[in-house]
Amino acid sequence: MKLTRPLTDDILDSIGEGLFTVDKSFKINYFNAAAERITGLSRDEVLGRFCKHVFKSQLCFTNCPIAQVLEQNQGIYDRETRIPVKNDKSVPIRLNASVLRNDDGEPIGGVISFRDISEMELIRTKLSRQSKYQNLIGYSKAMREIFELIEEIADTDATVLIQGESGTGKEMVANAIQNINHRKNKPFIKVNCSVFSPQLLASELFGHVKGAFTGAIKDRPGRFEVADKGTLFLDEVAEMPLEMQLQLLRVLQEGTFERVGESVTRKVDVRVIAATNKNLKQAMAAGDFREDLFYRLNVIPISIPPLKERIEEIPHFVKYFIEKYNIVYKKNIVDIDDQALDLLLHYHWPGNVRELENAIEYAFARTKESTQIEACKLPPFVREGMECVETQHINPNGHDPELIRLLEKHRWNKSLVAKELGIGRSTLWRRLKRLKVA
Amino acid sequence: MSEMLANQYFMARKYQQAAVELEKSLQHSPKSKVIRSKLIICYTQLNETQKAWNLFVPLVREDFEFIMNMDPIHDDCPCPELVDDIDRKIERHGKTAEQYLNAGMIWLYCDIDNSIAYLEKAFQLDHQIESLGKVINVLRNYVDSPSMTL
Repeated sequence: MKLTRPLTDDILDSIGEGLFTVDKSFKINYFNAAAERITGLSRDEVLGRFCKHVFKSQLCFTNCPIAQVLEQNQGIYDRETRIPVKNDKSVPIRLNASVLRNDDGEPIGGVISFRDISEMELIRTKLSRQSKYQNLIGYSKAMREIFELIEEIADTDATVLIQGESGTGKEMVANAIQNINHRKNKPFIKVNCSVFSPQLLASELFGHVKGAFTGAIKDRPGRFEVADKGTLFLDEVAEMPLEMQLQLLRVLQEGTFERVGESVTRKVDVRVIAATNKNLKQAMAAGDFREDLFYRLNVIPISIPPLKERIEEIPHFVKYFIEKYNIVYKKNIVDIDDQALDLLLHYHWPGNVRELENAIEYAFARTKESTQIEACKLPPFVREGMECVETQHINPNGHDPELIRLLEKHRWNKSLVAKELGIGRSTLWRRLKRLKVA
Repeated sequence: MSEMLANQYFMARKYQQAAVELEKSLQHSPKSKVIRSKLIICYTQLNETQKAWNLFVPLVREDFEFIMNMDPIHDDCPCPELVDDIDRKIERHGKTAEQYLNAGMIWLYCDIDNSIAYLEKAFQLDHQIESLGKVINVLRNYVDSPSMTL
């Protein structure tokens, strides 16, 4: 019988994240294709060897992620570190670590997944000159006041409520608060309250015990436990069901909770930052949000104005995003032309800064030769009603004005042009060839 | 209790923490030669010579080749790095029977002749160490005829 690789190997090789597993003696027993690509080490070089002999990192001796999972009985998420790779180099990575256990709960191995964040680090380094708040930028009076507030609350553990429309950068404000807070080296756990059903949200936040509900096959700590001594970011907090709001209120007041299906009361020390794009006062009036929870969360309120109320910032944002996407797309775009900037300044930006960033990224993807972002390279929703003709391809000495007019009219849809002229596509192709645009 | 955590501490040469976890693992698997051989190393490094000796003697009786065959690469045996420092350590702590006994136990992981030499020095200083004479005889006999056991 022909031996084939297990299907799981093919699946794990197909993912973009590097992944390796170790047995209980810390010998590597799996190394996927992305791990080979990121580290430059081949599977044959590493399998069967102790991970410390492969990575030769000080981390193995002082800060082994799997050892920490074993010690604290909690998985590690999104830890940034560096991993030594071939030729005595190292790459910055973001890793997750967890422990594999047998049916008796005994640790029998560990798994580390990681992704290369070299590019992100480069962007961060280059752009950090402009912002010390984790790439949160702002130039208006309102944003400067938010920065001042972030500085002022650096030493406190008070709860923060960030309000602002979608895309205004609420999570970036939370990152900035965490980044200069005294808890910055402690866990920073993020939960989006809108993506879980009520039961799953309770389990996600407070954990559960084996058998608490269908699918609860083993005990699992919740995000509050994982975030102990650190910070929990509750995004879309207004989406939290009322019964959960009561439990959250209790944690905020007493620091205590129970895992789902368990009566043991647990105590944690967690700083909470909450965010919402909803108007919480309206939600309270409608009975969808508890008033006592609002006042407990709203100790330090931060309101981020929508982009349309601070259009003076748009040129600064554009410059910032041009620098960022020059790195991402390895281009050398230096500016945006006046017409394009004018369009950006007059658009109403319902998706706020995120939408502006997307628009600049779209234009980057479409700008091939120019060193300027031109109006016609912006997304259609920004340049609504504006006619764009790819005039750079038209031979100015051509003698076929009717054809050019039709091409412009049909936005270079050759089938429509041919149909209107009553000629075949091959005839049209010959006429375009004469114009030197085919 | 986690043998895996013990392995990590041992791998990181955190002998104090490794000893604590290995002791727990040993209660769970008292016959494990891997756990015992690692625990002997931990005890020698923590200068808990008597505890090390109490594990060393039965393991030598049972299968001293297991100790001798521990490999720095395949088993992560730290003996090469430990024997490097062994004479300096003896100078530092004094040329006592206990120090020579420690050195003799560690050397068995690397080189049986050196192990015998240090154990004999311990024996010269203290004839009363339990089973030391027998252990030396077993190792000597092995060197002379590598098929004998205690």
